[in-house]
Amino acid sequence: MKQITCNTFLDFQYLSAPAVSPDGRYTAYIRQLPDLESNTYPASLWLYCHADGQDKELLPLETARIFTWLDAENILFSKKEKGDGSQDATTSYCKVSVHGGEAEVLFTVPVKGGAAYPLGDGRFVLTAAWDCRQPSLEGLSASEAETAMKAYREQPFELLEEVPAWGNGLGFTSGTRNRLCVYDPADGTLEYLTEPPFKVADFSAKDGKVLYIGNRFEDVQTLRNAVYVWDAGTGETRCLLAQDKYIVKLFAIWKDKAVLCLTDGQAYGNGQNGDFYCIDFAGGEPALLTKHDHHCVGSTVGTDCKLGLGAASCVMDDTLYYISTVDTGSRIEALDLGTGAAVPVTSGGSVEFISAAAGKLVATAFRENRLGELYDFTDGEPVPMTHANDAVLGEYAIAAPEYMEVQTGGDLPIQGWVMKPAGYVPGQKYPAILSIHGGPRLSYGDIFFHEMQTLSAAGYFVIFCNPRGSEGRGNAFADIRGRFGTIDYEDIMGFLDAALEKYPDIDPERLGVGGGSYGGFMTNWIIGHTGRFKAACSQRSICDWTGMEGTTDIGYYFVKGQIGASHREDHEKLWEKSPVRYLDQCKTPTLVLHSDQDYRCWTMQAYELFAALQMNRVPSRLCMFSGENHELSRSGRPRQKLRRLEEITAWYDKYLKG
Amino acid sequence: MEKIKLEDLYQYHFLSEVRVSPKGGSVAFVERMADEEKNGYHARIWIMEAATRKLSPLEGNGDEAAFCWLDEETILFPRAGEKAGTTDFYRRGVQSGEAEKAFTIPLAVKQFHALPDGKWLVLTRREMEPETEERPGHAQNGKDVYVFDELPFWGDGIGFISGTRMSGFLFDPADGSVRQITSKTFDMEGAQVSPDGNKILYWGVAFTGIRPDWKQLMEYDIATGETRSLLPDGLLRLTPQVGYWGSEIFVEATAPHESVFHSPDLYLINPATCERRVFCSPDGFLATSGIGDMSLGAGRTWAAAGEKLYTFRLNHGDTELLCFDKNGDFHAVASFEGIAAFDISDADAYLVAFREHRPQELYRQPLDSSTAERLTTFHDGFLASHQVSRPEHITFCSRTGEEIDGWVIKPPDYVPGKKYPGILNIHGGPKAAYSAQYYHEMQLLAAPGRFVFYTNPHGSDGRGQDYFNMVGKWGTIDYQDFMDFTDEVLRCYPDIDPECLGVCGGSYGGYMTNWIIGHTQRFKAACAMRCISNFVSSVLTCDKGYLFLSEHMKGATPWKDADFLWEKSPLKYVGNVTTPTLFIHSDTDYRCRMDESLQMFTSLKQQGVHSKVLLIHNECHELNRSGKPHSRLARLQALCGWFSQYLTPR
Repeated sequence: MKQITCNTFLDFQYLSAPAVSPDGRYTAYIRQLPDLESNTYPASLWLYCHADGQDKELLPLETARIFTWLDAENILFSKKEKGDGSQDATTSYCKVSVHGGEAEVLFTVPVKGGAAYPLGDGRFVLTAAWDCRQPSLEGLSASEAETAMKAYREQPFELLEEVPAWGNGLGFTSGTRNRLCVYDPADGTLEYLTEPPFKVADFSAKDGKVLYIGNRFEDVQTLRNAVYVWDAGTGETRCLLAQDKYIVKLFAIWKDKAVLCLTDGQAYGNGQNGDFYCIDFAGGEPALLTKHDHHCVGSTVGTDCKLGLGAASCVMDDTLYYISTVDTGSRIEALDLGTGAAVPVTSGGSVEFISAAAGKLVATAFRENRLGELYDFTDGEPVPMTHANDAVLGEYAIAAPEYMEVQTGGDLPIQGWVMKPAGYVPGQKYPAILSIHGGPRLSYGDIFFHEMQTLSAAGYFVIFCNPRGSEGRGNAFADIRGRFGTIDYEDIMGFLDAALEKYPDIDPERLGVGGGSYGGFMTNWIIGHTGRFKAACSQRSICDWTGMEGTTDIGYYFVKGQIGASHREDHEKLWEKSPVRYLDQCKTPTLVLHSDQDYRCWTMQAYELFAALQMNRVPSRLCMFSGENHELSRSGRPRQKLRRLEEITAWYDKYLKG
Repeated sequence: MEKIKLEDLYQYHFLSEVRVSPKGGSVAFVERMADEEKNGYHARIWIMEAATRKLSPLEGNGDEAAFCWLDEETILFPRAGEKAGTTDFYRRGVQSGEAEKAFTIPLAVKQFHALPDGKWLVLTRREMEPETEERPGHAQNGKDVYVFDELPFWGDGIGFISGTRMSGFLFDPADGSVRQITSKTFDMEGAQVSPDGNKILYWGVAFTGIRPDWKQLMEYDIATGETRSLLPDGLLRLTPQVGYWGSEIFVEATAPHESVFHSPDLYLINPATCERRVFCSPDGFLATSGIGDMSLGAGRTWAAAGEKLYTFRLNHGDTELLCFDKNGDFHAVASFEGIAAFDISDADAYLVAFREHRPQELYRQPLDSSTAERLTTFHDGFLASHQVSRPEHITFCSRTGEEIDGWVIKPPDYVPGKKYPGILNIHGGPKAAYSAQYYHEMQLLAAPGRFVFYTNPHGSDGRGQDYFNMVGKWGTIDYQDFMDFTDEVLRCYPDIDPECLGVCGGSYGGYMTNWIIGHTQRFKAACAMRCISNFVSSVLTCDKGYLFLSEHMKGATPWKDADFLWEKSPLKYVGNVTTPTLFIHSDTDYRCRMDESLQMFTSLKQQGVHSKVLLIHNECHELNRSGKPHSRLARLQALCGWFSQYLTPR
């Protein structure tokens, strides 16, 4: 059995975007493989046949990471043709048959388009990127348009006019508005359904209706969404929900209604779990279908082995299937849209993307410490469909996390795990790494996590838990607003103490700590408040809340919402919660990792942190990853992702192995 | 007569690097002009015959921006080598003739000094531990990932510097050999070959971890290869004004951590015995000149000639050419609006200078203080065809009794009785000074019909250390001076509409703009450029934050007296702002990071105040003076456009 190393992820296959064909005969999905040489994740479309279990590659994909079933036999996917801007771009939509063969271009739309869905009348609905600041190309000849766009692209500046002005993974977003449009391949007409300053967030098309959510803003974007429905038959748009009250967590079409999971965020803030409502397309007030505000809709269970896009909910017949995070994992729940009763469909592990049609329910899931695979959940008991990673995993020794619960200061015991080091010999002493998840409203589970496997294989105990603030135990448990660095810190330290007691072969003099985002905040908090750790890895972190508030894509609401203060009111409270303030007390050698296009926690946090550590003569090192963003550890390019793991293991090895 | 417009930037000539030939028969200098097509600067070397004043340019590729005299007839100049990381040196006769390649040095040369026997001392920036093997398919340092492990980790205008040092090498063209003479961790700032050619004097500091504020002065014996340190470690913070004065070494220095509030002393050091003495304490830094946007390139800032030493320095708003002797006596030889570079020949100084509100020209100033003559006519044509508004000098009395200088530029075609908007423009520093110098930005702001006014308040240079000492006082007496100055300008120029005032400034001037809009509503539009808004973040992210900024804030850091940092931060007061404010910032400004503008901008948008950020790509803190032309124009256009939008006269 080989030991897992930093490189092992390069041999993994990443599955996403499962979609059952309209007649239930097939499930198509996407596979991506890391390629170190091109430093990309080449993707291909795969087809699984439910009748005989045959699972084969259909064709490689260039740019598409999502696709649609055109009909029972054909799949539609996009291919970017040209143009970097929005108004001078074209996107081609290609069709491929389940029987194989070349893909043929069905139509080309003069937009920078996302996934296209058939309306049933020959037309297609899709989102189109739109940059309000690009020069208008109307009436210009092709060469005039090219000159105008060239001048625009060569502008040596960016003009920021709204908040947020950039988005993680999106670049500069000021002046950009996704629009919804309808394209008719028969005559090439393009009709926009939305106008800037309205920004479309997402949409769903079914039976000639298009349900979409978004918001309209000019200066400062709100989190609140409006919900609209457009009727392909009448061409009419109706507003189902105005943009003043709710955050939409989930939406779907069921018959002539919109099914929505909504929260007003009043009791627990923007992270609050929502309840299910129905709104009739004909209009009317949202009708409560069922309360669900205890558990999160969607999966918050972390792993660095997921990649790609897909749906977290779908409607089949009169049931809404959605993913819910509960305790230490996430599961599919089935909501009867008539009665409002919800029952769990799966248990164990986590579920990433689901699809249901013609009586079949499938999902990509992480189960039994295996990598993400496709499972058939139609009959309740999961039936593995794909075995993409069986061979790879079969070569390696895989550590199994051991569950434990620890009572700390709160009502509920803290759930967590300890992973033993590879080749563990009882009686020998081992160093240990305390790993802290982000969010804070995210969670750990016992699912496969390559970084943790690498650390275990390198001879470390790995300790991780879900302190107060984590998702999966309900709104009250997840609510640490205004209390960052208090009960969350106590829970983490309490869990660590309990782990040290239960596993006396952990050497308390050789402890490391690391985490990303909120986990990086907590790492920064820890090193300023205790000297018990001998090494720290602070990743894409926060050390200064004032800076976070003014420079990031969520800071302008997140900071006030989570810390309960803003630089304009009660700055002292913001400052009291800022880890950088305590770094003169820091004794822990700290590695700082950050990405230079991280617009979620902007680079200034890393530069401030590193400068503060240096000024206080703490052994420290900063690695700034070029062209990466807040998602580096999960979807970063292969070379950068590999280097990140190498830096982390090298830092821990240097300070914890002596 | 045309009004001054944005694109006039392409009409100006920027002069620098004046060097008199070894026997004094010629004077050479570098001339640059902004080039729209190449979005850069076209540089060429000019030669002037001292006797006849005949001027001729040496036409080349447009990249000849540095040179030295090889002999009376020949100059040597570098070009970036064909192969990356190398420099080609060309030889050229000043009478005529093509440039021919003299040699190639396998380094990216930043400074070069001639040694005896045709050898050269060159400086280049290098990694202390270069990556020897490139692992294919792995993230490459300096491309896929940047690694920092010391402080400072970046330098404005340079880039990421962690793990690098400016190192000194001896190059022998005879065999192409290159030999490092500085230690691995020594960061070299400058060097000079001794008059007898046997030694190399160099200065900088060797360090690991955190770069200290003090410097080392080293002497390298070329024959023996031995190096001696001429100063005790930790004693002095040298300025760039260091070098041989006869057989002694002249040094301008303060104590470490005192340069923001203390004038330097002038030392003479005996290199043999290392004995040193302070021969003068002239209360003011040497090589200081009026600030502006019409100067590009460097050059000599001091020159020893026998028993005399010449340099220049601000005196209020004037820049004086000074003559020192070794007793510490000094006098002003002449006064200009600004001096960029100069050299000495027998009885004359040749200066690139500003005078009579004219962009740079070359001047010959007799050292006996008789009248200077202008040797070049670069801007004759421009001035003859363009309507330039000359600043009028005024003074006002500060709260602490000083008579403070200021200038007012009237709108072109000014009609008395008509009401005009006015713009208060604030210089950076704060230890810098305005003068009557020609200033493109000021002319542009005035051109559409506005008054522009600017002053040298407390904190400015040119009046000694008591005046420039602003430690702990940002936003106090300086702010008061700006308000009092504005009042005085309105009083003296009643045609300025007090309801139609704008304010702008860069760096410290951007800080003060942010401060002003948070403390008064009297301005109807503001533009804060490459600003500071939050000292907690800027002390950490400024490339000299842990020194310069922290020293200005009485040594406060985020863990010691953080309250004071916040008290001094304009962001604390942003809730009071109602003034529509444009922020202009460069995204690779490592002096004042773009985060400073972003923090103010986000708050203003949330408050419903009109605000935008013009984020210029790939420029540094020097954008307004030496940025690429298209970027400079984008900045100026946004600045002027903002005031056009929000300052509409009644």
